[in-house]
Formats: sequence, C-alpha cells, structure tokens
Amino acid sequence: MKPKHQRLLTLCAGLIGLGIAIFLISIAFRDNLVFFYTPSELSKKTIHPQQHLRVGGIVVTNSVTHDRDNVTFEITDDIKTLKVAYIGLLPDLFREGQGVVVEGHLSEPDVFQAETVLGKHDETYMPKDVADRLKEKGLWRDAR
Amino acid sequence: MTFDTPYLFYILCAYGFTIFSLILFLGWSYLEWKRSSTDET
Amino acid sequence: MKVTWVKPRYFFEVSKVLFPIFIGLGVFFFAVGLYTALLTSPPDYQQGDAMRIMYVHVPASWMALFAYALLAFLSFFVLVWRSPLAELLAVSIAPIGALFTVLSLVTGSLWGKPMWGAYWVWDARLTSVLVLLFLYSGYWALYKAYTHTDQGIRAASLLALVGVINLPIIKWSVNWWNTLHQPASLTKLSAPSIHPSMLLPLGLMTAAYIFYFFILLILRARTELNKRKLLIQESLT
Repeated sequence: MKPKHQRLLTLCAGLIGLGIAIFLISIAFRDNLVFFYTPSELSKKTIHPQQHLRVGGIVVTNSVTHDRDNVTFEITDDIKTLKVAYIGLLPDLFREGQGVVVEGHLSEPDVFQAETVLGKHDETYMPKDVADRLKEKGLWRDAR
Repeated sequence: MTFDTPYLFYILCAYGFTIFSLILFLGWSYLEWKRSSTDET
Repeated sequence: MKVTWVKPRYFFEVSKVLFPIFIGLGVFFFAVGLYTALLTSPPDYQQGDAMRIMYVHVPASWMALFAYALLAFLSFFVLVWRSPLAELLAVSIAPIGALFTVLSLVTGSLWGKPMWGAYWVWDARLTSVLVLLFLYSGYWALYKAYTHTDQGIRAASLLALVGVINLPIIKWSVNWWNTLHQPASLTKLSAPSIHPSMLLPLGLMTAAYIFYFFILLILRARTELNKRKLLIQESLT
C-alpha cells in the first residue's frame, strides 16, 4: 500500500469515528442545547422555584395589560398558556400574535416573573403593502 | 429608506462596519502582496 | 494522480486573466447591491428598516460557511496528497473566512439589539457561529505554531477537517433546537418567504461578496506564493 493510500484510509477512519462520537455526545446533551422551553414542555418538567429559565411562545391576543411599567401578558404554544409578569421596556418586535422568549423564573406555580423579554421574529420578509393586501384577500397565513 | 427611522444608528453601524472591514482587509492584503513581490527583485 | 491542472502554475495563469474581470464585477455588484439594499428596496412589514441589515448579514454568514467548506475540502487534499496548490489556497482562505465570520457576528448583533432586544444570546445558532470563528483562529494558530510550515499545515488541516462537523450544526441548529434565531427563509421547499423585491438586493449583495472572496483569494494566494519563493531563495544563498 502506498503511503498516500494509507493516509487516506487513516484519515477517513478517524473522521468517521469522530463523527460517531460527536453524534452520540450531541444526543446526550440534546436537552441542554435548548434555548427555551415551550409552555407545554414547562408544565411537564419539574421546576424548582427560583430556577432561572427561558420560555418561548406566542403572545395571546388581548392578553397584554399595562399598569405603568408593570406589564402582564400570556404566552401560548396552542396547547398550554402561561401568565407572564414583567417590569420594564418591551422590545420593538413585541406584538400580540408574535413570538417572544422570556427569561426569568416561576414566581407562582402558574405565573412567570420575567427579567428579560426578547422579541422573536419569523423568517418571512415582505413589504408592508404586500402584507396588507394578503390580509385583505384573506390569504394571510400566520407564521404558526 | 426613510432617514428618520429609529433603526438608523444600527443600520449605519452594520453597513459602516462591513464596508470599513472589507476595505481595510483588501488594503492590508494588497500591501502584503506589494511587499512580497518587491522583495523578490 | 498526475493531473496537470492542480499544479500551482496553471492556477496562477488562469487567475491572471480572471482577476481584472472579478474586480470589475465586484465593484459593479457592490454599487448596485448597496443602492438597492439601502435606497430602493421596501422596508419590512414587521421590522421596518431594521431588516436592511439582513442584506449585509446573511451573505456574510453564507460566505463564512462556504469558505469553511472550501477550506476543509482543500485540507483533505493537503493531508492525503500533500498538494502544494491546495496548501496555498487553504492558507489564503482561512483569514478571509474569519473576516466573513466576524462580519456575520457583528452585523447580527447590531440587528439583534433593535429587534430581539439583546446584542447577544447564547442560543444554538449564535453559539455555533462563534465556534466557527474559534475554528478559523485555531487553524491559523496551529499553522503558525510550528517553525516548519509543512508541519503546521498538517496539524491545522486536521483541525479544519474535524471542524466540518460544525457546519451542519450551524445550518440546522435553528430547526433542531428552539432558538431565538429564526429558521432559514430561502431553503424551504415551498416558495421562499422573502418577497422578490427584497430577494433582489440580497442576491446582488451575495454576488458582490462572492467576487470579493475570489479577488482576495487570488491576491492572498499570489502573496503566499511569492513568500514561499523568497524562502526558497533565502535557503539557497
């Protein structure tokens, strides 16, 4: 066997082995790589009080109430709904019917006290007049 | 583009940084090439 | 494998012809791309003018991934066939790829602040792109760590190949895990979710970045060749 072929073989074997190793590790760590939980995932988990975590969902329409700087709203993943309380300024993308990720802890069993609210947008980009026309024609498909 | 957009700062930073870096990197690579080819003689 | 076109001489002969053409096209696409991106394309219905950052952010990310894929491909030839041309090109690509990764990270965070409300979050997409930057720097550090470049290039090439695993992670991180970053707009099997009026500046800017990449690649590869010739001359005298 030429040294060239030997190098090719060792390299391929090494890379395949490494690929398998990383695949297994990524399966093991799957749960830790999640940036946020959805409300229904949260309800299935055992959460210690004061545990710092992130929850993501769609802001329920007409659920937002402002009391000076205190904001409360509900987020949903169409299965479960979670009440969120927050003090501070909301990001520009915060809108009813839009996705948000909130960072904080469960202050009561069903109330989430958020320290940070992150706006999440989807992968759809279009001019405003096109979006308006789609809505008029009833062709609007919501991101979710 | 309307120039009174509240995002003007971020847009200008993003485009400014991109163009500045691209030109800087091009200039640096050009100078390196210049140096490497004049030393040859 | 005796294939003449992998000899450096042929590459530099072809690149001599292509170089001025690439410069012309690059300047053209940058001019038209920036004009449409900043002035003539419409603002987004959700994000307003802030989504204009997409036109510099998305092509930079694509190029960072493309450069790495090319680097890994060439590293394979370096390790198995000890190809001098692959070595020249790989060493020239690494800094360009790192530049695009930095551009992607910086413009991304400048987009994240007004839209998400944070410059940086540790979600899978952002973290894996940061890892890409570390891979590029690791490649360079290993390459430079040895006094003999042919030892350094082997260690660095091995790292480049191992790091390939990061590419699918970056690509599909937004589908595999819950991330703050939105999924891809263009690779969906259905119609892309970017309106044609916004696809145009994105395409033009991508073309501009591609030409920039190849202009820099030719320039840096020539520099690298000159440096090596000098080293040989010095060792002879």
